[in-house]
Amino acid sequence: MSDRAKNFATVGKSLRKVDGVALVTGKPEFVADLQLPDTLIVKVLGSPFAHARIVSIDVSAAEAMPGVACVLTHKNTPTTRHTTAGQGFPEPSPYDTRMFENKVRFVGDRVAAVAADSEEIAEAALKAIRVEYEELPAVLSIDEARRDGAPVIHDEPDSTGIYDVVRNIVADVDIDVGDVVQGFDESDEIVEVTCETQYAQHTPIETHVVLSYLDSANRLVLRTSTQVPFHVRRIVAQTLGIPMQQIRVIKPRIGGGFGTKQEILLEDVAGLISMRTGRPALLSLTRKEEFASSRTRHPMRVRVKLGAMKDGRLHAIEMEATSNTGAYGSHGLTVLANTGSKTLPLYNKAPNAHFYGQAVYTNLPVGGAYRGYGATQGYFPLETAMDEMADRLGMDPIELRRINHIQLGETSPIFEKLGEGREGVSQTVKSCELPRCIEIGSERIGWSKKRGKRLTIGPWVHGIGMSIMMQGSGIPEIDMAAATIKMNEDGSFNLLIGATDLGTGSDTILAQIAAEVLGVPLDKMLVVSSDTDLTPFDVGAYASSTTYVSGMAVQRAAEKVRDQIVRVAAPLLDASADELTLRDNAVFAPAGTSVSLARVCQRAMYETDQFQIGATASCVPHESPAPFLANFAEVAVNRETGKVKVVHYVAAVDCGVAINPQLAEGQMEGAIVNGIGYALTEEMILSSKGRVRNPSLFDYKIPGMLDVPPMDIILVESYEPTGPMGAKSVGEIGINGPIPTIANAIYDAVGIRLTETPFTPERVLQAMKEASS
Amino acid sequence: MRYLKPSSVSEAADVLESSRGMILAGGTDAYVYMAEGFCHPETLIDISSIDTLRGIYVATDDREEEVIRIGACTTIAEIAASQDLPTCLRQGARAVGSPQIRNLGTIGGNVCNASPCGDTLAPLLCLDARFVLRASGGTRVIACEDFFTGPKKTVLKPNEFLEFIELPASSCGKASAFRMIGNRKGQAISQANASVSLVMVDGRMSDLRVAVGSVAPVPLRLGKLEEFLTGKRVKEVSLAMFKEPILEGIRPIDDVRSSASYRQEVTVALVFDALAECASKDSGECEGAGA
Repeated sequence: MSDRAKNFATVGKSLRKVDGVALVTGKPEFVADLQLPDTLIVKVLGSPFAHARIVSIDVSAAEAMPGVACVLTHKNTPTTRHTTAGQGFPEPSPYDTRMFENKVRFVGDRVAAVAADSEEIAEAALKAIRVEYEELPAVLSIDEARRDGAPVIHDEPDSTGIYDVVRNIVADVDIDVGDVVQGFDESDEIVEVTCETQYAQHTPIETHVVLSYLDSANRLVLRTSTQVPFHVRRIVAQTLGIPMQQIRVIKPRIGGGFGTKQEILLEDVAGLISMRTGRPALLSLTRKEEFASSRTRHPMRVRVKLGAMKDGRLHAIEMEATSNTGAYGSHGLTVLANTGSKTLPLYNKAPNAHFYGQAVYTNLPVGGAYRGYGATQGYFPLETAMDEMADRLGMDPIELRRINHIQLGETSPIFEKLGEGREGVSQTVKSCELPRCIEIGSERIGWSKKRGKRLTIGPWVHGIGMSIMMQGSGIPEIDMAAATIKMNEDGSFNLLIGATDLGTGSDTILAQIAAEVLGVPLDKMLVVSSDTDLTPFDVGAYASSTTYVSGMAVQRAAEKVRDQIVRVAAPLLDASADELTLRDNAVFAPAGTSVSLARVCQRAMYETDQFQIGATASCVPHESPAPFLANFAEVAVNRETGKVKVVHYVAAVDCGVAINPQLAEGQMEGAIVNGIGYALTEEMILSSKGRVRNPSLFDYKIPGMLDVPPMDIILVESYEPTGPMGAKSVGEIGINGPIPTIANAIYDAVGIRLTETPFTPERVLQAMKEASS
Repeated sequence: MRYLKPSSVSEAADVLESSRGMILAGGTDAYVYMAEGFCHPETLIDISSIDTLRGIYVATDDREEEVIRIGACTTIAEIAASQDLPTCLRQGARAVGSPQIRNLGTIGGNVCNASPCGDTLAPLLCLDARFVLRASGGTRVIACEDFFTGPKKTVLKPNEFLEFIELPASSCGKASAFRMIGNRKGQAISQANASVSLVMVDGRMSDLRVAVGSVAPVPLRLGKLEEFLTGKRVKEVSLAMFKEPILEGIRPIDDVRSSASYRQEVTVALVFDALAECASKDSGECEGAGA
């Protein structure tokens, strides 16, 4: 623990989650738990075709059915182009989406919605809708998308923000540092690796769900499972063409997001139905609909070329990424840019670097934000290439990374050249314990004892591999979070935050930060979060921003409140305000005399110069300090079946000061299991017509408890001077580790380089066969 | 929908005869099928609480031979935990679903559902199991080999249900093993599975049975392979020798879980692995049925 972190009373402690008891005792906390009288059930009709024009649509039979309250199609809904991506305004994603349209662009694209008294009636009404489609040629791969004469997916005239409509290119990124061509010429050794990643989904336990209703003032209330309540309010107002003040968004507890709920998918439909009918409307995706029509991780093809000198110093790095954004360009540009911006600064010693890439439309499921946000796809080839380079140079892979990775006090030109789909922000690294992460992790896995030994037990051959990585903490000069704290006369405080707790524990850690500043135990902080009427603005939970950005807003608000408290307390203690300290629910003078916080607030509220002790503060970060991670895995590969078992996984992470170590470990554990699924089993399998063939958790296999290997999560603490209480982020970085780490361990075991995920037994066996022939 | 809960086997047979309803045991498949809309039975006949359909014990069969009898409603969890059953059947049972599914699901359900990938099917086949089918007019006995006619298809008539599964008493003296590969550890459907039983006589394989699942419309015995291996020492055979007799016997398909070519290859590996486990013990390990 860093010296500065040692003196904390509340921060740095694994305190219980503030919402934990309610959740484990089954209190009705989630969206669909609220049952309102006369609620309509909404069902959505999805397109059966990957690409088609709707020639005609007849809903008269559906509308005539008893119990049907409302049917929406492109004929009776607003036509505003918008993006479903819940990002800061103006969004860096193209405006290429309408609520409903006379054209469908992927199997599952929205054709119509029915609201009825019951699910059965709504289902029956969907079947009664007659649609005549004119099927269009479809683009079913990234290679087809840019071919001359390929079908144009967004041929409509009113979409904006698309890089090259005719060639189906959503976004194009190209940045240079130095001269890579010359750099490769000068290099002693060149390694080139191309990797392909699959369609994968977030699979939150709670699918997308929204309950909408009108309050007594006829305002539209959207109780929704979202990561971005304030973006929901803005984008629904824009889509429906109604004043934003007519909308209130409430996020209750939610059953996981992982990025898929950084998307405004359902709120416009449910909201419009409530406005048209005056009745509450519940729209909840089935798992099948979630797979077919929500969002996915952008599948990518990423090529990495490394040039190094004989002594291992990297001299040139090139990364070329092609991203499949599916039928709509949600997060298309920014995920692509992050593939480079979150990976290349790690190896800042190379004087020559080049990142370029394109995101292309296809008539396939739609990409979106997903934990890791492009970095996951980039680290696979980068860390595979580093492993291969070490092999070529005859160096230990750890040593190669040690001499090349970014260090404390250093910078990378990439920070400035490449940001959130535009230029970035320059920064130097102010906290970095990556060397210790590597050292501790390699000891824990037994690197020097096990590497290259190929321990063999029956058909199983063991190997170990490693990888290192960085991420960011929020989006600098773009993200904005605010917090309000007000004091009550019993010495408790209301903490009002726009920040969005997805189950991550942010309500808890933000309360810990406030409690630390104000010298009270956690239970004196009463948290209200994510309600656009009651809480101040926050962009929401994405880009690993909450601890760093929202946390800093909370710290500042708490400091302002502390200043007010000591001003009120000073005359009571006969001391000057600046020498007072807050702890144990009281204000202390240097002499040891004290006055309780309750007493202070009573004075402020009822006695002298009365006022409400309270403050609001905001944070716009000026940099995005990186957490660092060293991953190590031992795997066993079955030579006969191709099965890969993860035997042991070690992750040593520097996330600054862990505000709540147990929750930070939980974030890491979840991210690693999430990543192991992505590495080994999870894959949306598409038919030749673009339909998802395994749209269920029965056939799309996320890891079960039995698949979770023994894991060691080691928090290697640093102190980030720009962060709240020294903290950086931890939510996303862990998911980047399993793919390259397992791939490198498989190479150590059986000598094959896998370049296509997931590493199913079938692919592994095939690769072993090819290698031996 | 009508729900009937007969209290005896004969009552069950009578109501099945008159209603032609659907038999319900553990419900782990039946309820899923109904929820997904694959079937819409007018009558459900719940046989799960008929005591005589539950349990594992020694009995005498219709040929006056001693057999291990398993009631059709014995749960998969009970099969997995039983000390009185051959290893391969217990291993197969352990591979079925999750603990919750194994606690509710029955061996009779796994058999009558007749999924080509059912994990108890290949073990039963390699143990020469026989099935006692009950109708209101009486019973008939059919060999496991003749029971399955296609994916989810069996010789069961609409008025029949499975009452008992019978294994030769000698099956407990055999060494046996089951192997499967799925895409994760728990709650995974077999991409392929294999079950082997044998007796080692002077270090040579005898009385050998090899059965495989998920690689054809029905679970299959691999007669050619059995013939090839019989009388050989395990050391004499290698994985490569297996290939031909196995590939000749199976007819796998491509689906979302696996390709046909991977199923072919992995089946060879699974059979070899199961055989190696059998050979490492020279006799069976159950403690005696009905003890």
